[in-house]
Amino acid sequence: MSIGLRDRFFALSAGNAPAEEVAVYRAEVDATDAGPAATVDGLEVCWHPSARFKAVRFIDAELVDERVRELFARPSADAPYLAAVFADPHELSFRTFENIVPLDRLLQAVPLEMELTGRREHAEGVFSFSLRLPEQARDRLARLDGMNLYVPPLNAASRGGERFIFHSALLAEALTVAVADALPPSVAEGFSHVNPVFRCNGFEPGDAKFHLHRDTPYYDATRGHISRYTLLLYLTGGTGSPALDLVGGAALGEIGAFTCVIFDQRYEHEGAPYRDGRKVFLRTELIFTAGEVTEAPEIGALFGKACYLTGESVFAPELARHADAYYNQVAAAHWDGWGEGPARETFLHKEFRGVHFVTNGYDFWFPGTDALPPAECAAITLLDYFNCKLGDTAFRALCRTEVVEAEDAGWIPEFLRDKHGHSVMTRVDKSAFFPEPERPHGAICCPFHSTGQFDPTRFDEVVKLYTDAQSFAQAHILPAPILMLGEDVALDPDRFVIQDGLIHVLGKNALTPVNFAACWNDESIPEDYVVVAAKVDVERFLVPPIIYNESAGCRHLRFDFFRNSWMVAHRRATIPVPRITELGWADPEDSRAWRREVDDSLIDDEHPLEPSDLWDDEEDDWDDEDQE
Amino acid sequence: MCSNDVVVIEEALRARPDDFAAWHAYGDRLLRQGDARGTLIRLEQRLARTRPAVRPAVEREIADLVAEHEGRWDDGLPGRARVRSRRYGFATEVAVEWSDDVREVVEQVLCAPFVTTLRITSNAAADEDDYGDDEDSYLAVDRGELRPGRLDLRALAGLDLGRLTELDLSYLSVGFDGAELLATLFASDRLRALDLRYCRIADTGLAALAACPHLGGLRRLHLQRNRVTAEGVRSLHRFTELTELDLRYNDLGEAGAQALLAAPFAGSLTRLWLYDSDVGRDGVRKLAQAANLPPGLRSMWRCV
Repeated sequence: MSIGLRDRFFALSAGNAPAEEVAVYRAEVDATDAGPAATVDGLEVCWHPSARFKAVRFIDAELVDERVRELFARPSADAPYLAAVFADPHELSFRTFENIVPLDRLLQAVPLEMELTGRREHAEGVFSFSLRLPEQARDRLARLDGMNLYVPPLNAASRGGERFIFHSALLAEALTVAVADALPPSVAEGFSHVNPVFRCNGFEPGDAKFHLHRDTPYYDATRGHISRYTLLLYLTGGTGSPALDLVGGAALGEIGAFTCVIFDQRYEHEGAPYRDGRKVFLRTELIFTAGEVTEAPEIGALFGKACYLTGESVFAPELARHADAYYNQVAAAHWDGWGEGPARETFLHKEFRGVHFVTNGYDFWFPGTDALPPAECAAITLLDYFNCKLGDTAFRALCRTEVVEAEDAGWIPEFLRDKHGHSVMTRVDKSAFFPEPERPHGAICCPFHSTGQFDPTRFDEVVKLYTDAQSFAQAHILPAPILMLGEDVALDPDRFVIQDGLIHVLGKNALTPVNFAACWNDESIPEDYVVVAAKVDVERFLVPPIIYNESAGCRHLRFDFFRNSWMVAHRRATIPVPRITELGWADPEDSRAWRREVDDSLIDDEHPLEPSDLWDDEEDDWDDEDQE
Repeated sequence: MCSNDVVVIEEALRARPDDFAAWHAYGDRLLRQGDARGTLIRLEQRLARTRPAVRPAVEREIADLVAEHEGRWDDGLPGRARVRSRRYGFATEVAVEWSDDVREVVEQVLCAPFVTTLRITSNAAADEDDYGDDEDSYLAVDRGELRPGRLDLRALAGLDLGRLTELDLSYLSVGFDGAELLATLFASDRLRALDLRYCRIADTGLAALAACPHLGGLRRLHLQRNRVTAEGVRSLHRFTELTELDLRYNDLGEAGAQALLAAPFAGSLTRLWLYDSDVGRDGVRKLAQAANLPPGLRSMWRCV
């Protein structure tokens, strides 16, 4: 049943199936309840679509737990290392809205020497070229369209065609060399590289055109990088009316295959599908060193709001339109300065477990009450912004949300005045997860020599392993500002420092584990005796300070995403808390060893852990050894 | 011997160890007697009020004084007693190893003016023998039979441990009979912390301790691996002031969890150590949904 659902998804996506068949399929998906099969980077995924898991993503199959990996389809024959996973759209966060497919492996053995020839300047800052490249590279790029990687974009309502996003450093490097050689010196000044994130767009004749818009510039404050030009690489040729229209610049009606158009991102533009065939093109940006760029904080705020509304459009599709308007205004403001803002602004009023707050994606307003301290307001802001999961449910799905349009934010204090907030987060003494080990008993030997009286809780080797395991788990849990205990949110107020109008969310402060090593003559090993007491989800944030003030009876927080966007990070990790089993013999066949539960990705220089001595069933075969 | 008024002052200081003024006055008396601990009281009280910049000099002065005199400060204590903690140079926490003359040693320790915390440890030889106990003799505790334990707490009979605020008998093979005797050694109710982990006291021993009228003020109780069951947890209800409780490695089952939640102290607990294997899945569910557990503790059961 589920295999059928999985395979029909790709069959229906690829062809022109009758609407009735698609409708029947959708009804089947809606009637299918399924739990997650794996977790990838904190996101629960399933190998077939279901009522909950509807958003398809293409990821490196190696990221999927190997025990279930084979269940996941590999829909792209050209990139068999890509597995298709289905996620719950409500659980997508700003990191996962877009599926950036890793495609470098596809181009690894392909010669990529490229040259841009036949430069034509159509208008100021608008150039076209013909791309020369080896036949094998040309063929590989031409086949991108047929790789079955198109994912319905979240803002499907505001644009036509289909699109997928991929990352290829190899393609970007090759294009960087070609662009650097081909650009006029005046334009090439400050050019750094071609952005390795590409959007592959496909349009059929008759599709809605990509509406008039400006491309949102890429900006990396930490590296001092900004995009100034858009690069379009047309993989197919054809005629449109026009195929590319740069308002106030140039219009291109006929475009040849492997034409490259580079234009200043100040241009508002749109493009019509070809009349005479499928239109496929790649879009990326030329990145320059930022130099004299000055930022307007309003632009950052608006970009933050746009990103937020894009995410919220999963719950309220009409918000995609508002997000689009914000993106365009941001793009325009980057080049032309801050013009007139929107006449009305979009706000979301949310209620989480009785706490009311209002946000536009940048500002967050809470009732100004002692029962709801600023640290908790900051925590709710982060949970909402990153759409963290509480137990099995995403934060935003737990909120009751209504859209409010208003001229400005003036209505909010009065609106929140009678909505008395109260604390919805517990305070947990984290050290209670880590009771001190018992005093080792020198007379205890291994289970084999203890004739049924082995006490692992006081055996020195096990106690030392337990101490190691505690150090590791402590290093992850103690610095976390927020813990998820089932559906409960536990706040560590000490990790929120409020100073000079800013709320600093402190990051991790790793502890150093203790390491060591010794008669064991038993089938079980000491690691079998350190098992899991609990599993704690920790939320770690690398975020800029949250701007904070109190006014008109409100707590007002501002989360300045854009100016710091490339420093913003959020990671959820499940940390097993160790304990020593009381069992006199821990059957290795039925091992609940703590060490097996540790996600290897949590082990790093700051959180070291000795390699495990636990048997790997696949590698070790006692029978084989016996036969030898 | 001490005069009566000194005894009264020292008793008051044991009861209110943070009484700054009373220690100051006691220091004056010591200075008049030429006891360097009078100077130490002055210096440490000054250190508590001094500016950070001046602290290192005062700390050096204290270190020099302690180095010169500390060797003589334990003259009243038996040689086998190890001082684990001090206040103004006076021993407050002492550890003694179990021995044939343990009664005399403890009695002498309890004459020291400010000892309020006592730890009795097993000697290495007893430890080795003890671990060799077979399972049958271990189980004998539950059958209510007098168990041939290595340590006979009757050696302590007649002592008054009532001045102690903390008593640590961890890992000693006390047995239920030892616990019954222990319950008779308190003539007053100052004890706040009792550590009986791995002492094999079982429900019977716990019931005897709970029935002691002078242990009602206990705040912290360690009972790991004592073969306590739900019945034992019900005995705990008499310790109404408990705030920290460690019941790990006891087979309490769901009924034990239920009994715990019915305890008068359940809502006041700040620490509760238990594992899922102690209470079972149903017990975990009860604890995770318990309305009368403090929210922080309840939340911790929601991720088990």
